[in-house]
Amino acid sequence: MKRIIRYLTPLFFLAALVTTVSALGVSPSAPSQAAEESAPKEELAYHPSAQARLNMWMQQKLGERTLKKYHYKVHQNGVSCELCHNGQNPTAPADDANCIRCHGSASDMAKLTEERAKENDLPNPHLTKHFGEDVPCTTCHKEHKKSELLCANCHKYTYEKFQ
Amino acid sequence: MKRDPRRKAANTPTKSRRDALKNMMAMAGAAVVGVAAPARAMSPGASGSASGSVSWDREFDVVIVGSGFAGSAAAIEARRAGADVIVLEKMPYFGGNSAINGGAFAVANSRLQATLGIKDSVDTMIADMLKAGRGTNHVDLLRVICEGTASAYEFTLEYGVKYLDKVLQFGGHSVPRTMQTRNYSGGDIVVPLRQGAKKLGAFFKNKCKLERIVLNVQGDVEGVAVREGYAFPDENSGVIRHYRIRRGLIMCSGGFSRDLFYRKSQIPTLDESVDSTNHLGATAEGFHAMLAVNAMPVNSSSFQLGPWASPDEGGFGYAPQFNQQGTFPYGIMVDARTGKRFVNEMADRKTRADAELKLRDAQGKPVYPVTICTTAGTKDIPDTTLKAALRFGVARKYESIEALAEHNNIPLEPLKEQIARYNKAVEKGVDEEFGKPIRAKIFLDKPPFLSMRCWPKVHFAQGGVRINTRAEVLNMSTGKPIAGLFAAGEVVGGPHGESRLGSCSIADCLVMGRIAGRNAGSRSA
Repeated sequence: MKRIIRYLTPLFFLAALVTTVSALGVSPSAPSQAAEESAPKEELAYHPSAQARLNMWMQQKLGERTLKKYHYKVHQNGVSCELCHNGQNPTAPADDANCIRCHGSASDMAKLTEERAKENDLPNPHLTKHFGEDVPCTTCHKEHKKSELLCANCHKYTYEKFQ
Repeated sequence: MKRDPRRKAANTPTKSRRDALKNMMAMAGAAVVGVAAPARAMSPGASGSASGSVSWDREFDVVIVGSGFAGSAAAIEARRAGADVIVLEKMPYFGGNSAINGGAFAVANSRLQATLGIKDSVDTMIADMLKAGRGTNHVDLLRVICEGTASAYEFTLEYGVKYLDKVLQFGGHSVPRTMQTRNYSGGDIVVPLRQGAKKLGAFFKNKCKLERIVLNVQGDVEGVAVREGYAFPDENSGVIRHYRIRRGLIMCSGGFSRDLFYRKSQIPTLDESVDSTNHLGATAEGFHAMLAVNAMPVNSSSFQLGPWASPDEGGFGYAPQFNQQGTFPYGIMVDARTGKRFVNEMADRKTRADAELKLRDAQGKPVYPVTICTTAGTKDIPDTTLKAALRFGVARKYESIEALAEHNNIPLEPLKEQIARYNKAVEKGVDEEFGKPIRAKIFLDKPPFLSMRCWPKVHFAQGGVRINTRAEVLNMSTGKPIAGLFAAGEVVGGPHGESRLGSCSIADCLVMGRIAGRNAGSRSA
């Protein structure tokens, strides 16, 4: 495996050089493009052996990552980092835009939890008087470690079904 | 906000490698600057990095650091002045400490005061704030702030902020002048302002932390180095980018009550054992970045402690409202060992917090004072706060004063005597013991009684950088503004002197934020 990587490295550099040169022609973004930094969402070409190599590389580099149970099935047992991490780089932080694709927008989430919060006489966690709907999903919902409720920094309540 | 697909395609496969190359180039550049810097003709005393070999990733007219009251107000005004604006927020959520503050805003000469026949003036507000600040306030800033409150209030209305139909009187204010938002939270102000700013075309970028301010050879602000994709509090997360700034950098980076290293360096007793009401991101790196480009510090070791906080919950919580609107005006606070009052419960914050901090046992451990009121005294406390405080055990309810005394370990007889003395004072309308203003005939007579344990928490950093009335940051060596550098809000030192009055921070942040936004936005590039 290592030998293959060593063998491939110069090729990667060459590719990087070519693409860098072509990309340099692009001027720094105007502000309208600037703030919205969601990374590219292109489909990766799937090849079984490529996927196997990627898996091996990830095992070495990243080790075993824990995953929330409810994500096992839909996210191919947790081997598809790009579903959350944008496929751009397995160590890039997860992007909320990817949560939204399955779970719905912030407003959808707010509607979903409104009733239950009211029943329990608690504030709606997805629409609060402090932040509105603007708290990114990953602020509280962590995939690879225990989730932490932002509210709990001050408040004593928690939500039963919060994961 | 459509993106050009071609551009995307060109960027896609190379993004990380391009970054790596850029970073390498930047590092090489930094090394060159490091060697060459001593020979450069920098502005007097400036030690910030010069921009000689920085390759800029992006360019904006105005960059605002921080998305609280000041940052949001500045964003709106800078947009209105025609600048393109980006607001950087290092936390994943926007609003900073403003989002979790209590939403109380002191306004001199508000419309509502006029309607209710309350006589107030800018000079009265200045006098109140000066008295609390022990006369050490920067009066030029104070005057600008107090004069700006009425129009800042109208400004918030314009963006859909909703207030209660009454004017509150907070401790240390000589007249009722505090406007209170509907949900008793600063989020009621900062969320609509953010939406308004976005509608005007300002960009809000979270998880983006300021690393340092970059000056040009004349010592003017040329840009900033930021950490995009910053995952608080991991200082190695994300990637470094450089933004060039055409008009101005506005530092609205807030206070630093949560910065333990900073806090302990200034005042060693404010260590881990003292909690803070602030959100976790209230740290000092924004202030440090300005010091690194030779900004003048003011009162940098002056912290305000909130006397109304409770050790039985984290952060800001419910206690401030429970005490400020219940037990302090309509009840008493007693030393749990003696059952006696020890301070005017409506004095300014410093007086009260200092008195509370003295209540320690022989080993120096805190003996938490206890606030007491009846249900009649809770009439001004918002329902949700009262309910939640009781539900989560921050406040407690007792069927008799005996039960209250027993639970809190207060000697019963002295407590009963104290209550009798207090009731007499309420009857007379004059508190001869501690001089508390008696606002209503609410006696401590009928059960149920409510109580809460108190202990001060670090609440507000009165220190910060020196600015002039145009919100320009002043250079420590020359006394002149650092061109292109503005600051507003809690990161500014001076206006509040030694002790800030309650509800005056929103006033400060909104007024100075607007001024900074206007001046930075209209500055010629």
